[in-house]
Amino acid sequence: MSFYRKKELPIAITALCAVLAIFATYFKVPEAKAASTTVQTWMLVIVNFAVTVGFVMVIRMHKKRIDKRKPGEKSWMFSAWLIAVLIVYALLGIYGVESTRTGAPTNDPSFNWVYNNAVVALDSAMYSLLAFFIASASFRAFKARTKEAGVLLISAAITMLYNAPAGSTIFGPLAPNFNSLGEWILNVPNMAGFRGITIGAAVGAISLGIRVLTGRERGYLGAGE
Amino acid sequence: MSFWKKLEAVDVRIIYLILWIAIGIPLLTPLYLPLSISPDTVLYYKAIEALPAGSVVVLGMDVSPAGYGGELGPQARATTYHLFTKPVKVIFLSFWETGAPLIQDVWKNQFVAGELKNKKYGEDYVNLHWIPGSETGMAAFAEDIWKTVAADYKGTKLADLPMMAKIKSINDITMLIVIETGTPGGPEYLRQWQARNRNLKMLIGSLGVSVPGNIPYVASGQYISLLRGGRGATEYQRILNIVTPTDVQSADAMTMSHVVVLVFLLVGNIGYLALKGQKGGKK
Repeated sequence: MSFYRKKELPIAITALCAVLAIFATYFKVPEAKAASTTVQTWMLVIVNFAVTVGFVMVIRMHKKRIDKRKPGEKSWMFSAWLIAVLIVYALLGIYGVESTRTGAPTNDPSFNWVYNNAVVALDSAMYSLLAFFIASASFRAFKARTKEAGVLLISAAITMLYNAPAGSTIFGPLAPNFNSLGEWILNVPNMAGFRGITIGAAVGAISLGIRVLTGRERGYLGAGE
Repeated sequence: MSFWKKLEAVDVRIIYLILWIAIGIPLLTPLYLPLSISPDTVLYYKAIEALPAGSVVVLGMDVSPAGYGGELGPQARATTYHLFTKPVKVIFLSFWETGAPLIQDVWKNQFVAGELKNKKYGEDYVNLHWIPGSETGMAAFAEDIWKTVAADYKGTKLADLPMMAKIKSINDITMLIVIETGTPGGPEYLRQWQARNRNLKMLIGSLGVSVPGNIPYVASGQYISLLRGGRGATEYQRILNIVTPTDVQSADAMTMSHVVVLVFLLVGNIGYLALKGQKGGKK
């Protein structure tokens, strides 16, 4: 593939789409708006193709791990399990869509059963495990080694209890200003920090957008440059 | 070995066991710990109460199963119940593929199902399921709903859903309620929806960890209010009077876990300072 087709063409397409979207946002030109909406609809179609690419890539990656397994090593079994579940679940979904013949998202009972009873339960369980790690970290790692760490520790404890369902009712009577203090931490120092982060991120996004538009940022084209 | 030294070297399994017991007690029997209602939750409730008849509300179920299980599920169920008690039109959708299947799970809740009997699908509420494309999908939806979404979750064309006849773009929507786990979530809706319809009212149902990040948008008035994680969900359920023993157990378990973490923080730091003092004394 020539240099132009490899780099310049994707950059030109990206810049064209971006300019169109920006123009349609800031100038009320009906034709530009219609074209921008069409391009956005194309993007939705492309996303669906990306899912297929992702499916193939995950299988390829885990197949490599299985192929390269060493004697005595058992971690390859997780890769085999992942591929098996991926294929079975995808087939269940495709069967569900095909059986209704409407093109609607699947309502197949088997597909939904796996989702509600395996995916939801396992995902929630994984998230819940965080509570144990936080408990361990709070005892072993979160120490007031410096004055700054002490301030952070006290603020974190107040905010945590303020956010707990019954926190303010239990600790309110012990410290009459507990609620106001919790509110103050969230609404003053926290908000100031988050506003700074949000504005900084927005400025960063604008500069990244300009770099992409002008072809200086090429990371999205793949590895290398 | 001194007491504090032994305490610092305590087996991590003991820490896990203490937490496990603290969470387990309320899960076995609800403690009915007292609860105050925060102003944010009251504002959230009042914003939905104030919706004029015929308003169009979008409920974005932008959640992962992890977030849905503990904090966002109760928020979504209470919000849906509240909306179904009002004479408003509701569009359910999700920009998270993991959130879309959970919309029907919300409808199964006993209180929601009770109100659902008085509503007619296609006339009072619709489920547009998953819309791909993340933030770009949001932008496309805001510009032209009919071009972006071909059919609902059953495969029914939008043209066959009477409610959708007059709902063409973001300008036809009165309120957006986002039950969010992360990105895309509230800030993306702000950029793509509220920027196009400045009159769009927004409410957020947020995970506890996301509350600090959402506070600036409430202060700026872009969000009317927000539900603060599990606490917000419990408070809202109490306002609506739809609390089940399971909800109480869940809220009590969360409070207990927070209290245990606080105790660990205190004990860990007292031990650290005591050891530091001993070392200082020896010098």
